[in-house]
Amino acid sequence: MEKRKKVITALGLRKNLAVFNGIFFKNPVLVTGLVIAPAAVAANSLKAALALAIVAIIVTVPTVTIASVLSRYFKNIPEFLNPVIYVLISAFLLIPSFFLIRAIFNPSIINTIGIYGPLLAFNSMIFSRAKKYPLKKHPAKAALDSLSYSLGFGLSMCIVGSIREILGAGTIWGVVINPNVTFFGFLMPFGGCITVAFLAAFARQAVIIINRILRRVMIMYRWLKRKHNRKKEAVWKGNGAF
Amino acid sequence: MKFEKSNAPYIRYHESSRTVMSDIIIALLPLYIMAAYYYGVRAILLGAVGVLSSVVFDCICIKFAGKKINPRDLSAVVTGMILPLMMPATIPFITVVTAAFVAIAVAKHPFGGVGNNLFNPAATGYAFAALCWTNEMYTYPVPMTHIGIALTDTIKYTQSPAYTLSQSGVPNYDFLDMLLGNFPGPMGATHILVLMACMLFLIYRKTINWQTPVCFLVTAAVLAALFPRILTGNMLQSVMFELFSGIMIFTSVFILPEPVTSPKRIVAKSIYAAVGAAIAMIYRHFGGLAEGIVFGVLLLNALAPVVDRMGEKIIRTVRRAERGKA
Amino acid sequence: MVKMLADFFTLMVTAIFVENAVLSRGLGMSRMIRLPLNSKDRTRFSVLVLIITTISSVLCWWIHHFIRESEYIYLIRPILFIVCISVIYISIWIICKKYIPKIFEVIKKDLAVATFNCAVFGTVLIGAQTGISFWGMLGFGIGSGIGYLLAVLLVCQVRRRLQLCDVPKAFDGFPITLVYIGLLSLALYGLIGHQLPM
Repeated sequence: MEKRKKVITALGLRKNLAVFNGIFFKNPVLVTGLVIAPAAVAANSLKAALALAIVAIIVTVPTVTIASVLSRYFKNIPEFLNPVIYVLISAFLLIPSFFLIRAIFNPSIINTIGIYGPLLAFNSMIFSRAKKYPLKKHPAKAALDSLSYSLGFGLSMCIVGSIREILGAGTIWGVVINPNVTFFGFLMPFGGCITVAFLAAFARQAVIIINRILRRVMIMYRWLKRKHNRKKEAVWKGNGAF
Repeated sequence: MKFEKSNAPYIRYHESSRTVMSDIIIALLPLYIMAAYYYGVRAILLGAVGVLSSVVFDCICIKFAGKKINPRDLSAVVTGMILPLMMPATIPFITVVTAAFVAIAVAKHPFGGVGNNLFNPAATGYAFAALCWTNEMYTYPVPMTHIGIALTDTIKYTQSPAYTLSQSGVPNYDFLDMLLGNFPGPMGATHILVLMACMLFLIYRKTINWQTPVCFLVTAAVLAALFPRILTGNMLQSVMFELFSGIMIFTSVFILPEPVTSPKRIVAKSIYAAVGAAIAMIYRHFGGLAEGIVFGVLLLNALAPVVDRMGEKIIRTVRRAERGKA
Repeated sequence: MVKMLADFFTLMVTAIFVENAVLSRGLGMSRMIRLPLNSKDRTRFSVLVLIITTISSVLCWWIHHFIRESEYIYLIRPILFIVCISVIYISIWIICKKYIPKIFEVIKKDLAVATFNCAVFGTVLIGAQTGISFWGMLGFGIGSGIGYLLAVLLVCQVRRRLQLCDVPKAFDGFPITLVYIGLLSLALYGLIGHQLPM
């Protein structure tokens, strides 16, 4: 008997890979606007952006995983205590993250990122992702999903940070590249807001265009498959040339 | 019914957007001539650079938005002409280009283009340039120095009377000097007589209404007389210096009555101008920069819908009272 | 006595206009983009944020007073403040549920979002970092809440006004609101004249 091959349509591929949506299609900074404050104000330089991204990854991923595990195995917790648990876990996770970035960069990075480091414990990503993965889903999927959101956050922070640093101070990672023309306004909150807004518009337009292309590919694939099936049926029924 | 397809802005009076904009351009030309008389040919060059960059950025943005370029729309030209007049004659050309970029691509087109902007483009461009090049923006050359295309080292720089006022000093220019523009200041904003003439011309042509500049200047004069910053405390001197130094009168003529950002009814426009004067004086007294009124204009533009609604309520109560009496 | 009042009012006015939590520091922006346009809901949410900011600033000042001299302060401080805010949240929930059920029905939905908000936590952290007196901290907390209320009013006004504008599709929604907030922060920069410390 003929083994049925697993057909990968464009839509099927999108559904299976939906867990990686956070990196581009639902980027928390640029497309859905979940976490804007650190990107618009604090990501003055590539170093600060990378430090904040590392803190976000360390704080978000274990919190969402533990939240998913808790909601699976301990169902008696009253609902209003949920935010408290998430926030306390992420607050404890701030300590190792601060030690890590102090070790990677120099200890003055804590002053550079200011209040936006501890503020990442109140991430919108934690609250929105922990609500979306209730009892049914596996904790591994929750971990992967939150990891992709944090990676998306890190990617967009690095882009915003490097643009702001190149245009604002003429350096990148502290190395001077273009000292002639610098626009100091990009290091201020105004420049950050404008950069994030324009990149967000750019990313949204790219998402619209890619969705359009994927839909056309899927329609064309379905049409081709239907034509191929009809041809096969005609051959079996003995209708001759089609 | 036949619908005619036309381009923004959609103005329904017999004047078109073209006549409004060309009136403003005609009013700005004498200021450029005076600036060239005081500061040399660089003034006109800066104006040309401003206009060219505004028009180029405007065309690029319109192409990105997918609309058709309207060659009769002179709003980009007006923005390009207003911008250099608020800056000193010695700024580098890159400042004007940056200010034009921010004015067109950040304050005008993301909101929808012509007729849709929530903030005044010229004010935004100048504010961003003042943020980036603070030192170059607030040191002015002494008038009657003729500056060529390139900046040489022999130009003497001074501070404007606005800076002296912010340090509670007394600027030493007399009345006639200030009227004729013989004191350091922004390129197009120092010649008070010419500015007054332009204002009268625009009011006569009904491009701007007379309530806005008059309310603004009267409120500013009253506030300057009541809370003088000058060391001697003389009220008349305080009024004269506060009004004539910096960009106060220029703002009240060219930036405040912009048709898109200001409220629609006459009552609302008067309230808007008075509130604008109050904000301008607050920025002067408590602000960190020597001339912060343009930042105040941005705040005022954000408050315009509130003032609009206030004006509507006032008119409705008046109408109801009249109908109740009759 | 005079010094206390002076601290209180100065810091309150500073927190409302100059160091506005939303407009100068960008805290709580992502929440504001999703707020409902309805005037009653919006006012309720902002008043709740105001109350919580006030209570938490007072309590956190006491905690900070005791741990001020420790060495790893930047590590312990966030955790203790978060514990304090959680305690406030739980106590408000339980007290309202037991004793004032009418108010509890009204604030049930918004309480979680209003408490665990970047604006609240950011205010407390900034106040602790600058090391101000008790009355100053109280004024700063109240002023921060009022500033949040004003910013919410402004942003909701502009969202209503933006429905009349012909905004391009890519900019619709959150980018255009972000541009607006950026331009407002530019306007407030003119009052300060230099960059705020982070």
